[in-house]
Amino acid sequence: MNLSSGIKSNTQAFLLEQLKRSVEENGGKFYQVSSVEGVGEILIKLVSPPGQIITAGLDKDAKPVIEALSKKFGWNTVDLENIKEEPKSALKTVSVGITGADAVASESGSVLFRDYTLAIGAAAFLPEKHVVIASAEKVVPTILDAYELIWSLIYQSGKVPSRIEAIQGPSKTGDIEKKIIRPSHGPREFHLIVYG
Amino acid sequence: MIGLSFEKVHGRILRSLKDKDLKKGSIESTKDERKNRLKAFDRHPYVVEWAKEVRSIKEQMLQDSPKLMDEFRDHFEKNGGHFHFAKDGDDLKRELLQVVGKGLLVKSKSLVGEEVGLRQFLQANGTTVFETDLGEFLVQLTNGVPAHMVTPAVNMTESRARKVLEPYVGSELPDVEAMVLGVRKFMREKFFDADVGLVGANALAADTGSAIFITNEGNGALTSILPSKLIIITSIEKVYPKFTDAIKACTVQTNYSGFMNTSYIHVINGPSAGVLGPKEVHLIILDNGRTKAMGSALSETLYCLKCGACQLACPVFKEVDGAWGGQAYTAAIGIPWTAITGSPQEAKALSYFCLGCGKCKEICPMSIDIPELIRRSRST
Repeated sequence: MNLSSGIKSNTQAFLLEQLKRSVEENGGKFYQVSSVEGVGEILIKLVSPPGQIITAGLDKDAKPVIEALSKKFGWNTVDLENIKEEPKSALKTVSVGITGADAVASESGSVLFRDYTLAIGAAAFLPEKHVVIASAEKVVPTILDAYELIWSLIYQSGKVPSRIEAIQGPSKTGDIEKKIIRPSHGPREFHLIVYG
Repeated sequence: MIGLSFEKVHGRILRSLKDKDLKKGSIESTKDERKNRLKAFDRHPYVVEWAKEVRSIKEQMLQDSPKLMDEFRDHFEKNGGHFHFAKDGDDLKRELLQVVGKGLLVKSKSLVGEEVGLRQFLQANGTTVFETDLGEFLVQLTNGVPAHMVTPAVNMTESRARKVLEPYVGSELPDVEAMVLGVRKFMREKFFDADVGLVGANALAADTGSAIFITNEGNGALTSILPSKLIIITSIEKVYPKFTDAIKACTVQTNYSGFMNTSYIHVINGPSAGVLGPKEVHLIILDNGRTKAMGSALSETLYCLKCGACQLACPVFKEVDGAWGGQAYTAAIGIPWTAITGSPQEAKALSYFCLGCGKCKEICPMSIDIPELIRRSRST
């Protein structure tokens, strides 16, 4: 038992190290914290000035962290899940979107999620800054492993989502003389926080 | 469609050679293409193997084409999408008019759209259309045709782009960054106001009924999540048997285009189940000569992933870019594509400007014998 957990942690360490390299190469920022409590400290720095925040698709550990921070610092946070009508003004003025992930691919630095209501898509693509909070167990070696995991979740639930998104860093364009400019229409900044 | 004659193509190429401004744009854009591609291969060494794998999948796909399309259709409809088949450009336009009204339509890049003159058709029909990909937007504003499959405004210099954008995004455009941010702000409003979003697809997966498309700009994301109606247009040679095959094909396309990866891989399965996003999703799949080409001397063309590597490798393209091409497809593999989907006579006229150097064949991820296909385009 000790041996196998030793191998597991080595593999995990390698995957996280590779993930950091990939995310940074894609133009994003990577953070690793030992527990979900550590996420708060990073968020406080990232969400400054606070502006309009939208969240969607957060996992059950991350959700209370953001609720507590919003309460403590008076952040204007709109949770896009279970909304009854489109919060047009929040979507138009959003500066930070915070989401979870179903899978994270180490080799390509990809963050993947299923999106049934396009709430996660709105939080991921509309703001200037997209922050992803994912637990370390979501990290898999390659993007093909990530899709395999996603489809197994879909077949387990029996419900096909409207979208599956894979994000590799902030939006960019090279359309004028191949000069790479960030952002284009999507976020300017992409941050991935892995906890646990 | 009759298309351009030899003399017309010749005249266009001569004019293009004299246009110093245009030439600079091309050279700036193509000088690093080899370096960028090698960097992508270095980062993802498995991609060269994947290219071989995708080629053999493609060979089987053309054999199984009708069966794969039926399987895709079943899954796509089960997921709540509306499936339309269009045998040619006119058919596609008819199908489209059933779905699109006179309102505002935002569009991300689609070569199939270029193939049938979609934007021009919709505009003539009273629909307001905005191309949301920066390169395509520049092409739209200059009433031009895309010079390259992946970077349509590859031939435009910074100063020309500034002149073109000024009336829309203001005159304070000191550099490319200011232009990009100006367009971001201008287009964001259009995304929110649009009635319909229209996107292309890089690949379809028969086993899941998914349409997959890749972008860097995020324009495809906003085009497909903000309007309440979404239309996907694509063509029949892109139906892969398995989801994983489709993802591999998109990855090969990306890396051979000279990108390490794209910012986004979007997978569309069906309409939104919530208050946000499209409640209606339509997919129009175009034949336009492809089925006919499957048994013909040009059938190898249909393996093309449209990565544009052959265009950037082509010495003629480096000098004259979009001037050597038809309505939708330019240079190298663009010549047999023109023969299949546009005008054989035009392809014939274009074919005489190939130098036969074979650089295109060398770089093609699908190992397509492009010089041979161009030669065969002469005898149609």
